[in-house]
Parts: sequence; C-alpha cells; structure tokens
Amino acid sequence: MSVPQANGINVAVSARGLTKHYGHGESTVKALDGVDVDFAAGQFTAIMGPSGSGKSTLMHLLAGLDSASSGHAYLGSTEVTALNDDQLTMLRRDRVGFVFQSFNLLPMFDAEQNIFLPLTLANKKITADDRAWLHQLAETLGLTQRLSHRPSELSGGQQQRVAIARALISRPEVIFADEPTGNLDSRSGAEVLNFLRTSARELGRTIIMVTHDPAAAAYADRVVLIADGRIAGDIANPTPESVLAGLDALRTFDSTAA
Amino acid sequence: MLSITFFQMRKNIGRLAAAGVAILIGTAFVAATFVAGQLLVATTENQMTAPFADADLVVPASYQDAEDMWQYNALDEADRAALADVEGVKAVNAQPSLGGSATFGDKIEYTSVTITNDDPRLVVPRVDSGAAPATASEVALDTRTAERMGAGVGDSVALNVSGEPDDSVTMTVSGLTSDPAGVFAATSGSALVSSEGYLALVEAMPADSELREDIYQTLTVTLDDGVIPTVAAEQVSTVLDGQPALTPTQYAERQLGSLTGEANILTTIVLMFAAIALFVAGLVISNTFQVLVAQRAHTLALLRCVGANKRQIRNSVLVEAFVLGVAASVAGIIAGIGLIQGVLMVLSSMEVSSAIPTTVSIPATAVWVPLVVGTAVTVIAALVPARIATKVSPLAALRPQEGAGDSGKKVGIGRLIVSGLLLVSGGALLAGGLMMSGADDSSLEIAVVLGILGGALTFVGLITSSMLWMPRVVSSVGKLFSSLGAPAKLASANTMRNPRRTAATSTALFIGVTLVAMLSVGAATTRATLNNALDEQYPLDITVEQYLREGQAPASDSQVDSTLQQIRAIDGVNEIVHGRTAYVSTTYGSGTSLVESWDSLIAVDPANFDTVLRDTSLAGSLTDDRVLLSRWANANDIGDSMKLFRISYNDDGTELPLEEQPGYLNAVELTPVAGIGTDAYVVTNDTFDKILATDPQASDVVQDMYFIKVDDVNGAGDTVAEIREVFSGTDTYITGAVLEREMFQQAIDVMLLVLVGLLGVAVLIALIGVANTLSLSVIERRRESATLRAVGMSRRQLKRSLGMEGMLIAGIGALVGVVVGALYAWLGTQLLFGGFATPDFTVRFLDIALIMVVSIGAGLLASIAPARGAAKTSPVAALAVE
Repeated sequence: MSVPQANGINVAVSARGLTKHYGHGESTVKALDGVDVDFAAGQFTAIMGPSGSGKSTLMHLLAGLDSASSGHAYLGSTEVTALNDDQLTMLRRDRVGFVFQSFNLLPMFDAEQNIFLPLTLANKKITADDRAWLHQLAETLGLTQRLSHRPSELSGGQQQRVAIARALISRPEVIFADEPTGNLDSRSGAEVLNFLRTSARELGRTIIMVTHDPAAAAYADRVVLIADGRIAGDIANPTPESVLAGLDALRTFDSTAA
Repeated sequence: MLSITFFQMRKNIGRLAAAGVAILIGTAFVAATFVAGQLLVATTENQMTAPFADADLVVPASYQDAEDMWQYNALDEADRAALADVEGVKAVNAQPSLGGSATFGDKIEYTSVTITNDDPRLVVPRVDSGAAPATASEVALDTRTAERMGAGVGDSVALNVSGEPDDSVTMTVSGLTSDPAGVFAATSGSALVSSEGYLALVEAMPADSELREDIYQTLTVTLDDGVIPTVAAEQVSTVLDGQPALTPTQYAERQLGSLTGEANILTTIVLMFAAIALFVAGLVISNTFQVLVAQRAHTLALLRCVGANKRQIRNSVLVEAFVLGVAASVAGIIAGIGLIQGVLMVLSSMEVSSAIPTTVSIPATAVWVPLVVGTAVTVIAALVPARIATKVSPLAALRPQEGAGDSGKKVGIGRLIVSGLLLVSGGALLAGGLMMSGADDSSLEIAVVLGILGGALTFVGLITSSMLWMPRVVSSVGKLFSSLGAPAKLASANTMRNPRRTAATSTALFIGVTLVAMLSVGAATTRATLNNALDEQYPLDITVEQYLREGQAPASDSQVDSTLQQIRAIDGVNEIVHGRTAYVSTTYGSGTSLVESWDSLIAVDPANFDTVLRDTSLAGSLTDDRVLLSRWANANDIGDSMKLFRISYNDDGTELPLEEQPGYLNAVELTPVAGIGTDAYVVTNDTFDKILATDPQASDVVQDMYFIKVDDVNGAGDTVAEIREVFSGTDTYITGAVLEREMFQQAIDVMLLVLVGLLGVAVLIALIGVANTLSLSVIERRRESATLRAVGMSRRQLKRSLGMEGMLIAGIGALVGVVVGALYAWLGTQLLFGGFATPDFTVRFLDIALIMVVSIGAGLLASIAPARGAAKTSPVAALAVE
C-alpha cells in the first residue's frame, strides 16, 4: 500500500481503517471503528472527544503502544501496525517521543539523566551535539538551573517540562502527549502548552496531543474530534469557543443518534 | 476491620505465601531439632537395653544407692544360681564382664563373649546358621569374625576371656550369629557360649587372676507369666542382699539421666542455628510487610479518611502477621516432623540399626516451641511495618500515588550507639583474646571464650549497623557496575532507591554467607595448619609394627617379601621398606655422668629408607658408624658417642647391673646425629646385627616393621584401609601421619558438612528474601517499567536490568559475607593455634567461588519470574492514571 499523501502536504502520521476491539462475542466493545485520519508534519494537532470516545486508544495505536484489531497506522513511510515488539521499541527510541499526564520521570535519576534516558537506553554516547541540544532545550524550557535536581525536588510544571525535554532529546519525528496538562494548575499548564506550540512552530516537530480541555486544545493548529470510535469533526485554527461549539455539536449528534 | 484485613490477605496471598515459606523453613528446622533430640534419646535407650535382650528384670553390678551414690558390687556365679530359685523367675542369664580373643590358625580376632540360654528372650545374638552352643566346648561365632579368620561351622577355635591366648580353651564352632541390635558393634562381634562354657573360660585363667572376681556385668531375668515385675524385683533384691533389680526401662532411665543432659546440649547447639535461620526469616518477613504496606498506602489512607484510627490500622497489620505466623508455623511443624519421619523410613529400609525407632514420637516441645517462636518472630518482624502503616496520612488518599514506601531514611541514633558499643566492646574482647592466646598455653581456654564472645558481639554489631554501611557498599559497587550499559545503570540506581530494603535483603544473606565462609576458611586453615604440624611430627606416612609373642618365630624372608609385594600392589602406595626393631640399652657419658636408658632401636637399609621419608633433608645421613636419634633425645646432652647393646635379664625378670651385662662389655660405639623424628633410634642393618650380637644369649624378640610412603598424604583413606586389611588377623600396631590426618580430616569434614548444612537453611531463607524483595520492587515500579518501555527500552533490557538488580543485591550480601567470614576465620584460627603453631591461613577459592556463584546465581534466578512479569507490562500502563 502506498504512503498516504494529503493535498501535497507532508503527512507525518496517518491511519487507515484503524479498528480496535476489546472482548469477544456479545460483550465486544468497539473502542475504535475504522478510523481514517492524517496528521500533517510540523503541525500541532489536538485529539478531543468525550470520555470513552476512543481518543486515547487512537493515540496508543498510532504510537505503536498497543496492537490494532485491524487497519493500518503509519509513521512517515513505516507501517507501525506491522512491526514486532523489538522494532516498535526501536521506533519509540528513535522516532517517537512521549509526554504523559503524570510526567513519569524516574525518581532515582536527576533531570539531566532523565532527559538523556532515551539515549542511554539506546547505548548511545552523549555527544557534544547532544549536550548543545540539551542546553538549548533547557534554556527554552527554563530548566537550566534545575538539571541536577531529582524529580521530587521539582514542581509539577517543571517535571512536565523535563518530560518534554526527554521527549525532544532524540529529535523524534512525532511527539505524542496524553493529557499533558491534566495534573497541572492552569498557569503551569499554559506554560507547557506554549512550549509544545513553540516546539511545533520553531523546531518543526509534529505534535499530537490528546486532551479533553477545550482551552488546551485551542493552543493547537488543528483539532480532530472523535466520538464513539469514529472521527466526528475537524477544526482548523481552533479557539476555545470554536472547540466548545464543536463539542456541543457532538453532544447533539449523540442525542439525535440515541 | 477484620474482614478488610482478611480481604487484603486474600488479595496478597501469593506474596504472603512467599514470605511464609521463610517462617515455614525456620520452624520446620526447630521442630525437626526437637524430634531428632527425642529420637536420639530413644535410640540411646534402645541401645542401652539391647544387651539385656528381652529380659523382664536386670540386676546391674553397678547401681545407684538410695543416696544416689554409685556402688559397685561384683556379681558371680553364686548370685546367678541363687536367682534361679526365686519364685516366679522363669530363667536367669548373665551378661559377661569379660571379653577376649579367638584364634584360628594364625589369625587372631578380638571378640566380646555372650551367654546363650534356654529362654530365647535372654539371648542377644541371632543364630543364622548351625546351632547355638549346647555344651561347654561349643561356641557360635559372629559371622563377620568367623569370615575374617576363615573359620566355619565344625572348625576348632581357641577362645579366651582375658585377651591372653595362653588362657584359651579350644571349642568347636557350632553356628554363626549376627547382631541385629548392634550390641557388639563396638567390639566387632561376639562369641556365644553356654553358661558352662563361660565358666570353663573363666577357669582357664591363672588362679591368681583378679578377673575371676568379677565375671558378670549384669544378671538378666525372665519371669513366669502373670508375675508382676516390680513384685519379683523385690524378691530378687532380697536374695541378693539388697542389690537392686530393675526393669530394663527403669535401668535405661537411671542411666539416661546424664545422657539426656548431653542430648539437650546437642539440641541447644542445633537450636542456635535454627535461631539464626529464624532471625533471617524475620528480616525477610519485615521486608515483605513493609512493601505490602507501601503497596496498600492508598487503601490505608482511604480507610483513615473514612474513620479508621491508627490503632485499627496497626492491629490490622499485626493480625495479618499473626495469622501468617500461625499458618506458616503449623506448616513448618508438619514439614519438620515429616522430614524426620522420612529419614527414619529411609534408615529402617537400609537396616542401619534396630535401635533406631521406625516412627517418630513427638515431644510437646516440637509443637509449641516452633509455634510460639515462629508466630512471635512473624509478629515482631511486622511491628516496624505496622508503625509505618499508621504514618500513612488520610490526605494520601487524595493525592496521586507516587513515591510511597520510601520512608524513614534516617538511621536512629539509638541504633548507632548500640552498634558502636557492640563493635568496640567486641573488638576489645577479640584483641584481648588474641593477646592471651599468644602468651601461653594455660590461658588458651580463656582466650577462646573471649574470642567467641568478641566475635559474637562484633557480628551482632555489624548486623545492627548494616543499615548504615550496607547502602554505602551497595552504592559504591553499584557505581562500578553502572558503566556496564543502560540496564546495569538502571539496576544500580534502583538498588539505591530504597537503601533500607536493599540493606535488609543483603544483610539477610550476609549473615548466612559470613558463617558459611568462616567455616570454610576456618576448616581449610585448620587443616593446613595441622598438616604442617603433622609433617614436622611424623617423618613417615605409615609405620607398621608386628608384635611377636615369646617363642614366636619372626617372619621369614619369603613372608616379608610376600607382605612387601601385597602392600606395593595397593593403589596409592608409593613405596614400602622393611625394617626390624628390638629393645636395646643405650649409654652415653662416662663415670658418674653415665646415663643408661632402654630404647627401641630400628634397623633399616639406609638406601631404601630414604625412599619412604617424607622429609628428605636427612637422606644419606645414616651410615654404619652412626645412630639417628629418636625425637625424645637431645644431641647436645648425648655428646660425641653413644654405646648400644642388647639387654639381658636374670631368670626372675630383673635386670643385671650394668657392669655384669654381657652386652655392655661388647657394646657398639656409634656417633649420634640428629634424627628424623621417629619414636626410636635408627641404625643400619649391619650395625643392628652387631648390636644384637653383643649378647647372643639375650632372648627378647626382634620384631618386623614396615615403613610405607603413600602417593598423597591427603585422602589416603582407602589406601590405609587396604593396608589394614593385609595385616588384619595379626598382632600389629599401625601409626603414622596419614592416619592422624585421616582422622582429623574426617572429623573436620563431617563437622563442616553438618554446620554448613545447618547454616544452609539460613542462606536458603535469605535467598527467598531476595526473590521477594525483587518481585515486590517490580510491582511497585509497574508504571516506571511501562514508561521505560515507552521511551525505548526493549523487553530484553528490562529483564536484564532486573536480573542485574537481583545479582547486585545477592552478590553484595555474599561478597561482604565472604570477606567478613574470612576475617573471622583468620581471627579464630589465630586465636586457637596462635599458642602452638603458626596458622597457615588458607582460603579454598573453590569454596568461595561456589558461595559467590550460588548466591549470585540465586539472585539471578530470583529475578526471572518478576522480570518476566515486568516485561509483560504494556507501555500503555505508563499513560494510565491511577
């Protein structure tokens, strides 16, 4: 199958007929039901939807964290759904970065060690180039003074910024962020979202973020709405208002469907 | 609250079971020790009553009177005959006090003597073939004794009860017997004779022999049906002027009074090892509960939020520990008793001895002691975790669950002071002991006591302070380790996350390994030190001396050659040399300073003799005009020359005055030179003949000797056994370094094996602890593992990281244990041997390597199941919110 192209724009991540079932027989739950979607390179996209809509499942499948029941997911020209566990590990190491809701830093390592973790795991030597990149990231993220601190000595916002630096250190093609502001107060959350947007605009990273917060989604270049395991809307250049309107439309759609 | 406790227990049943195994093993150890102690007493009791066969009453010659004083009243034939007339007595037999030897052809065998009886209940040996002796001139020999002599039914053997072949009575072998109860195991068999036969043997002894006075050790009696033993006992006692008659059980019980004490000491010593095992089990339990509490922090906080108070939380943990302790202890008691029963079944199928009971009897202590101790250890071990549980604040329920469990990093000042005191005072005692042992022999005992006390105190000090130093060791070894790639770096960082837990786990292993390493190094050093001492003391590996009785001809040349050939053919024999020995007189000095003594003199061919010397430094020093001094002689005292001659005696056995000794007039004058440490003087064959010729009339005997060198002085056991076989049945005396070595080594090896076996239990429990700690850590770090997988760690890396963590924890415990154990062994041997030998500090690296490999291997093994679980964790788990 050829790599999907959309309107001449470079596509970083895409899904074709992506489906995920849980359970068997009568009790089968369709978490994701034949999703087709493309994410443009260098764009900050938010995936939104109500609880249980399948937004997290979509992200897991796109990132190769979970296996699909059927359909295909692509990262660049690589079919993620066709890789085995070792290949997926390599993919996560080199081409994908993650930012988690609960930061997930290793408590026994300091900030710098945490940021370098993907390189350490790959048994890569830390080069001068890597160091320069670390310092650039630290400066951008306001962590220069915090590199030798352990996670327990950092605030939630700082921890999440370390996590973003960790996601960026191996210069991945795509960063997946799962509710990155879910555990943060609104000011720290705003900072983190600003950094994500900066990363996309200035560093040219592709960022796919799952969130249920319209204000957070408004920082993105584009919002993909999802409901009942299907794509239910697409908002370009979103504002909090337009996202809320989109979500309201979903609810109406829900009630009419019911 | 109780239902919540049980619910939580059910939820963590696997984890609790793993911890329970530690207690189970410890309590099984305790229960088995008590049962085995009881068994030892029962076996001894059976052995004591075995010589009485199935008698109803016994009358021992030695007994305790009303004041508990030991009395001895010799029993004779009149006493035996008197009992036969007592009413109610069915049959009377006696257990002879005398034993002697049996001769058949040129073979002599020492043997006990026992008497047959018409009542089979009073006969000890079992007649396997032929018949029991019916007349005074018949004897039934032990099958093995008969085999060794080559005698069979119908042959005539000469038997005596004094050990003097001259006192023998010739008897016909009527049958062959065996000794199922093992009564004569120590004397390698018995000769069964009729009571008339026994009296004939007594009569054959010289009329003035003192042995005639005391021919029976015990009288044994059976009673008519329906006669009550205690009633008959009084009548028997009256007939014998108050000498007590006892039932065999009463007899054994009286004798056992002191013996039970010994069994108790043995039990106590073994229980000390059980205590070590239980202590280690306590550490494992404490660790497990700490992690369980950490795991449940969220639930505990929730309970606190909805109204549970601190006491309820604490009690919940303690109840859990109590239930676990009782369950594990009960299982342990059953396992321990079952184990001993299994051993008994194996022993009885092997027919080791009929004195060993076939089923265990269970003393009450074998049940309540392990139950109480096992439960107490479990509950006490849970006290700290219970306190930690109460410190979980209700607020924790509202916070996301992060970093739970890593509490209380500070080491209490009290612990610091106590361990410091223990280490300092123990060290002082050790130093004192070392100084005293070097000073002189008389203070050695005090030095050893000081040393043991000091060693114990410092060891306890090291254990209590391990929370202080063990994390440091872990961290520095871990740092070295970190350079081995990402999994190693993670593993070493992870061991440092909860230093207390890692320290406690490593300490559990450290205790067992220290003791095992100490024993290994101590035994190796003891053996090497003794080897050195023996090498100096015994220049010859094996010396065989063949005694000749007066009038017996010395071995002919062809007999000697045949013996030489037989010995040379034995595997492991390097060389054998024939020599002769005689008793001679030696004089040196002159006038008033003339010294005369009587010594053994050995004659050898100098060229041959050198080939059997272990210490070859003196080879070639023996010439015709020289005498090599015995180890007792001092060359400086003797001076330039020494006269040797053969001694003559008057007819009445007294010695002639020196000037009248015919030999002295012809004495051979020789130059004394330093000897090789033999018990006798050594000269050449030619010189020996000259000395013998100094008095041709002298009648004392020249005996044959053999000097044997083996290929390898260590482990020559089989060779020695075969050499003994060649000389069996002749009157020989075998000595030498190899025999001493064999004895020491066997004793050391058996002791080492037993002690290591006992300590192995503690090591095993500690290894269970490693597995437990590791799998608990994995559960705690579930999300972390998932994160690592998400940011690019492969499954293999994750497994390897956990494997390394297991090896690191186990390896450090073992490493520190080996080092500390070797240090204690060095101190111990210095203390023990410092007075009389230079300890040859020997480390058997094979043992040490084995300890390390077993520990590290077990650490790796312990990681397999947890690592598999961790690797299964889907990276998606990292994204999940609790």
